[in-house]
Amino acid sequence: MTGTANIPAHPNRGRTIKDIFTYLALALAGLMSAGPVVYLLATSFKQTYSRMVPLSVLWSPSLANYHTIWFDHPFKQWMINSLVVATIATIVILFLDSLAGYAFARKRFRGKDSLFMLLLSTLMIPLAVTLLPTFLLANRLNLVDSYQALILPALAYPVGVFMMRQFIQTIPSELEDAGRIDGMTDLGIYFRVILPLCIPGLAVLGLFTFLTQWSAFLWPLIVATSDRSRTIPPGLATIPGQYNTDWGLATAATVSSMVPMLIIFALFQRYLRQGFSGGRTTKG
Amino acid sequence: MYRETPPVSSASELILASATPVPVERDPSQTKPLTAPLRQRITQALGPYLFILPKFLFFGIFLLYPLVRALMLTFQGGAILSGLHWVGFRNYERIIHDDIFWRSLWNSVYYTVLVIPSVLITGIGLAALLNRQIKFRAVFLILLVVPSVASTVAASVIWSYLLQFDGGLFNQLLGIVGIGPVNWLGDPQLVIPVFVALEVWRGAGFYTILFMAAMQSIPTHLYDAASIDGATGWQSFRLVTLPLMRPTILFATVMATIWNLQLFDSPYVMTRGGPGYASMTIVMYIYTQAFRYDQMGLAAAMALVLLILIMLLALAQLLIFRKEIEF
Repeated sequence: MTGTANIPAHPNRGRTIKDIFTYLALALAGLMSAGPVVYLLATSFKQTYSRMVPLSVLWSPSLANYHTIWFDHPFKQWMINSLVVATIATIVILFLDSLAGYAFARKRFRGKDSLFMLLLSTLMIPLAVTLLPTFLLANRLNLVDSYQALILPALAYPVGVFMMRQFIQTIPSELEDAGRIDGMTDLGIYFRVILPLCIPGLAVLGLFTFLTQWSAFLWPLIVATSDRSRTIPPGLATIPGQYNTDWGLATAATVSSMVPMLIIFALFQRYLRQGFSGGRTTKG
Repeated sequence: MYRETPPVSSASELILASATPVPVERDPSQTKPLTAPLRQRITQALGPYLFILPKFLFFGIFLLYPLVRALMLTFQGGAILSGLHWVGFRNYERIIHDDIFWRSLWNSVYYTVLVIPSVLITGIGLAALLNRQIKFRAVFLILLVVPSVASTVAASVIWSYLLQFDGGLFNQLLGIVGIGPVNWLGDPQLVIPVFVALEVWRGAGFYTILFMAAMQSIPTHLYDAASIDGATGWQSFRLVTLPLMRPTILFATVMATIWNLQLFDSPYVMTRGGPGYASMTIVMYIYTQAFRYDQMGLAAAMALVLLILIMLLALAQLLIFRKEIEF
């Protein structure tokens, strides 16, 4: 970027030095970034944990830790709970937020701007504020230690409405007019015109929602009081004890917990790249 | 008549642009003659509300109601089981004299003050390097994004493992160079910087992608103009790139402030707030008061202090940046 703009006395030498620095810095950053995960992976395949020496795993890799964590441990139940909660929450949020986003993008109605500002103004509210009353509510509704207690509060979060509103505004309204001329109802237009055109936006919102739910910790820690509804993060947090942690099990569980996120990232990364590099963050 | 519309781009644009109402296209259904059947007119008037009703149902029950209830709770004492009762301003009085509260608030602020420049410099620096004409860009980017696959709790478990006093990778590596084992999580001076490093490690990929997108959106003719004026690479970065990235930097700063002041996961998993209260954060203290000591009202009042702090800081950042943009 800057190399081409700059024409020093010895262009080639200046460039080469800059390039070497760039590659060195990026290689170092990449190593620091991915190194710990590789080390984690190596530990998880070790037979027994003693003092982990880097690369020693290559001599006798073993699936023993994974076998224990998946067949002799509540971990599998946490995994199922996390999958159920994150999947249901994501699907319902996509529906609620695209529906509301459509109305805010296209419809005219009394109080629209005030209602929208009401949603917007709650974005700053820390979870810690609503956490306590929501727990009292869940307690009164007898929802503690249930999937509902994990899913329902997640549906209130407003950020998806903005995302879908922004996205739907980019869809040419002529397509809706065409639908209307064909005699479609508003709901028909939403389902058959808007939703299909929203797929990239829904993919980005779905990805973020799933990842948020997958890594949610504080609320599940409070409300998922047993393995019946406990999700991965509060479960995982119980594994490293103060002393005598079985790091083989801890690392195998951690690696396992990262796999679904990896799969989701891999599946949706092209939408994410679209979402990020559409690129008019600044006015040029 | 096809209207050229900008694609949805970065998250920052989503949030920032949504703050300003965009003019709405005239809805043809609104211009129908008044002779339309009454039933049709009622559906048209109610229709939009039916679209937003499901969202507002959950929003009302699980966000607005808890917010109002939280305000009431700050004036209540007692426990969940024994019942709550009104205590006036006693919770606020107790907060003023609670040294651990101020300590944990300070810890959160100190952590946030360290995190924000760290992630901004890391993200902008890596984005600038990746935006040069280099090979293997995709490989470097994937390596940087790898930690984002870990949830905060998973990242905390990984780092607990790396930072073990006896036999952790960090102390093993330091041992090779002859530096004695460091008690990373047991040293009150080190424990907050360790959480900062953890956040930079986990967030680097996200911030890099965010700033890369912002840099790529800067028109190249501005760099051409700068180089005609004789600007060096560093000058064009400082005078063209950085000023044009202000909206993204503002967005990242505001969001990072809101997120990081709420630090809970990593200290809960790695230190439980210790040693002593050295890594007790404000949200951890609220959690402890509410769910360990059953002091719901007191915890709610603390949470309200946090909310006010976040609102003031976000407002201040918006004002500071606006002044700078307008010169």
